[in-house]
Amino acid sequence: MARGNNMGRGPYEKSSIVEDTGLAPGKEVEERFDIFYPVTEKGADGKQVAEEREMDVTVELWYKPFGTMDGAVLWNEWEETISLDKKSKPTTYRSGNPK
Amino acid sequence: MKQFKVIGVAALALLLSATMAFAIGAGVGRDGTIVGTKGKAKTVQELIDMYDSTGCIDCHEDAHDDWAASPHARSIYGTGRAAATMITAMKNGFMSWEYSGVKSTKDIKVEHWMGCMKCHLPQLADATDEVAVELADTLNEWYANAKKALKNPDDKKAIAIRDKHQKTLTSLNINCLVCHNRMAITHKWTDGYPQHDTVYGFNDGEHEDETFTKMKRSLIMDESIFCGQCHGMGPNLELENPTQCATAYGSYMWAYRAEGGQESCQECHMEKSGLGHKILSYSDETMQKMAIDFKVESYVSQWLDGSTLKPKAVVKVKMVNRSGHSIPDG
Repeated sequence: MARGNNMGRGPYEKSSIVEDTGLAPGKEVEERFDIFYPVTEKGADGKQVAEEREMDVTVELWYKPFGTMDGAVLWNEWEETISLDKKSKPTTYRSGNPK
Repeated sequence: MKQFKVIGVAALALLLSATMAFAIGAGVGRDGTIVGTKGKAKTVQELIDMYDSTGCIDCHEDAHDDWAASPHARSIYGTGRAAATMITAMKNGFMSWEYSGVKSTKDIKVEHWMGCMKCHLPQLADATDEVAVELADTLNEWYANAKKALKNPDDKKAIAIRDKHQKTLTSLNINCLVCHNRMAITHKWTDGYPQHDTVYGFNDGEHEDETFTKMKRSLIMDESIFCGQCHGMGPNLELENPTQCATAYGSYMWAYRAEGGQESCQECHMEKSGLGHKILSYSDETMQKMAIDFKVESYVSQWLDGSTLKPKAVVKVKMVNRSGHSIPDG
């Protein structure tokens, strides 16, 4: 409310910005995700092996007008099968990067 | 004796006109506005009628149809959620504040609503406090009966009351006359007050209408400040108890124009998007594409940390907001 560090969703619950996590105009924002493949121990020596060689990753950008999935709108979606081996499955694009 | 009577009547008349001018407020031409001419609305229906724009449809059907599909056409009702939020703002806001003077809906005055209605229904300022009370009662009755109808879809009485109030609430909106008359001039002491017989746009001249017989150029109709009157700068510090809703115009000025951005609200939301008077934003596919550069890149690595294998996929998402304001905003 600009009289402390509280800020609510309703207009009557705020009169300042305590923190802004929105996307500012013209400014590049990068989000990095490190997703680990599962490993298992194999053989007598307990050597670690990644048996799952491929991972299907989907990145979705949602606009949430009320902060929840209620009324949320999907703005962008990217989908790819990422392989630990050099040759991966063909990339699929529903939207996002140009083909 | 006769002479005394004449002087007495003249003095009384002078006193009355001076009182009315004072009540209307400062500024030459203020008494020629719609509310200055008609007087304040005393009922919700009078307020709806005061800014009735149905006369515009015959000649401006396309613009009207676009507008009808816009959020401006249901500025206090929305999808029902906006109306419910007005009730929350009333109950959790000014009805719960110790010094607001509101204990029950009968105590509500126009100024109590302005935290919401400054933008959602700016013409409420042209109504009496009785309308503020009626609006609160309408919202409450609509909500109570909407809940009843949801619980029991066969409750015809509840459905009828809900629909009646929904019609009233959707008739209170930001329509042709609100934008092309009431809000069309920001600098009223410089450019004059919007007059009751004039529509404001891009031309000067005669206007083929019985009520609005003149057209005048609005100096702000294609400027961002026009939208900034409502899609504002953040806290409404002019209110007795400040609220904060939209911050788009503040962000536009201080984070977009300040960095060299040149486009106006109207250029993106009406012209380049082809949306015209729909003036949509986050829900529209064209606006979504215009708003964000979205790029994703990925690669894999197998990090061997001593005897521990850590294979991983790295996904980098890069986004650039190409709009003229922070996202999200309104």
